[in-house]
Amino acid sequence: MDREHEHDPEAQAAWALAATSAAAGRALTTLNGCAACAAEAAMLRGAVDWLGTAQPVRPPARLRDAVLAAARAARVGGRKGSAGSPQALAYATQVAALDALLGGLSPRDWRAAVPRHGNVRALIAHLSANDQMVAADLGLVRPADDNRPDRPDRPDRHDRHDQHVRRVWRERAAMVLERVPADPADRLDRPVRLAGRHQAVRPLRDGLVQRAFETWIHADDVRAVLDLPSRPPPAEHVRLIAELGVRLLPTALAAAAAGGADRPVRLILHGAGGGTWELPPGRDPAVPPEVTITCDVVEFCRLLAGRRAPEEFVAIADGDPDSTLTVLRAIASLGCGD
Amino acid sequence: MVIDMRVPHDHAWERLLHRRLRAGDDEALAAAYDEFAPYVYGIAVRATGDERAAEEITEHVFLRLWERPGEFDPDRGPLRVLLCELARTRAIDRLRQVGRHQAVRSALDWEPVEGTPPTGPPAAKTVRDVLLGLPADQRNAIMLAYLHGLSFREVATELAIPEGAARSGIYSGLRRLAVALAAAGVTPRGPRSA
Repeated sequence: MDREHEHDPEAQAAWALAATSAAAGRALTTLNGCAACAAEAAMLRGAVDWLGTAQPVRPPARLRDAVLAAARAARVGGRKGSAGSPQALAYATQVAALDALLGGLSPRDWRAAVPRHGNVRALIAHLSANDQMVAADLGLVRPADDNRPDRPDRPDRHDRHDQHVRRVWRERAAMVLERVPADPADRLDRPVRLAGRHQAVRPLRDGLVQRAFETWIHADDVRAVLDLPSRPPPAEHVRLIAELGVRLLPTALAAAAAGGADRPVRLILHGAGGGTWELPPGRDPAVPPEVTITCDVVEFCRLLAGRRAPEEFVAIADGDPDSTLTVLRAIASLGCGD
Repeated sequence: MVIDMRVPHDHAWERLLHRRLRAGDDEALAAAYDEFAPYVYGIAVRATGDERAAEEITEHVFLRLWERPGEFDPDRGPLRVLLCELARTRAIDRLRQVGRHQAVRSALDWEPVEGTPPTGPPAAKTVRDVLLGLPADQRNAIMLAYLHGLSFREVATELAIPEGAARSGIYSGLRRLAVALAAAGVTPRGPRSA
């Protein structure tokens, strides 16, 4: 022990509270060369190391999904850190989920019949082509494209081609996600085309939500083929999708009828991620709507995607039946088109 | 491979977890999250008093573990210690950026909050019992120094007590905690034994 050394256990307590684990480890071996001080410091540090366990709080359940999705997205895109924005995280979550799903498909699964598209491979090629629209609008270089679903190839090369389609789709998605930096405010304003019959051009933040939406819907298409249950996105992502649908609805209502964009509509969407919206935007809620539609928010999203028939849609409607059907048809026109 | 969370986590459990994290196994990350997220989130929400910030801190901590699994060395210390330190330093950094404002009350609040896990490792109960057995000023001084990274002088100012009282209170409180943990058979820095 150093004779000149003055023991100051209270200062050691301050050090134990402030030091990082690595610094603590280094300092313990050289703490004034004093074994007594090192032992005291180690003891206090050990106590500090347990302080964090004194008040555990269970985090919101959705945070687990968000953390794991961000981790998977980081792997898919080779990205570091969080997905950067709620919209990007929503997209990354669906990309990761679909990629995991595709990873488990057999060659026969890739050939399985899918309504509207022919088979799973053609479906993913369609999704990839729509992703490419956003990538192109962001000025991203098109990755090697060999997505033609009807490409004649030998049966023994099916598997290789399936994986190629999957890889091209995933690389495009990753390219788009990589363009959303940690501080994305300006980039999220960049205009991109949305897939669908209305040929809307919207800020990238909406483009990302639509890519998340379409990726989810087509993942559910694959699940249906495999007889797997549907997997709706987390509630906060459902909310983003519903909000986008509501923002786009006036355009669809205008296309449906002259003056349709001004039709007063109230949407009451139940379930996690739901809410109540008044259309047109800014309308005084005190003004009675012409049509009120009340339904489950996930079902609303499926109607948006064209996965529910407007004529058979399960909802509580208040208003003229023809007007209600016009609104439901307008909603159903807002999907990616396939 | 699924990590069996029914098995008490010990050094071998953490070494297995470490190998699987390095291999990019997201089930290992899920297992680490399930085990330690209440501590990480608990530190973050108590330190900041802001649930949104606590979620961001929790995400940051586990993504850092995912992306830099090499920072976790089970032969040098338990994962709990690493994750709690990451949460604490991240929370302190945030408080230094945005100010402490409303965060003091949450740091000193010992009322159970909704979602508080009913059980934890025995050592955690020892820690809680010791801290709750301390006079309020002493306990508050320790938690302000721990959660907010305050110096003795800053703690004293915050609690309107003499600096000497803050110094001696923090030291004696930590020492009492260390003695209680030793009596309970908890290894100070080594792999978890509780």
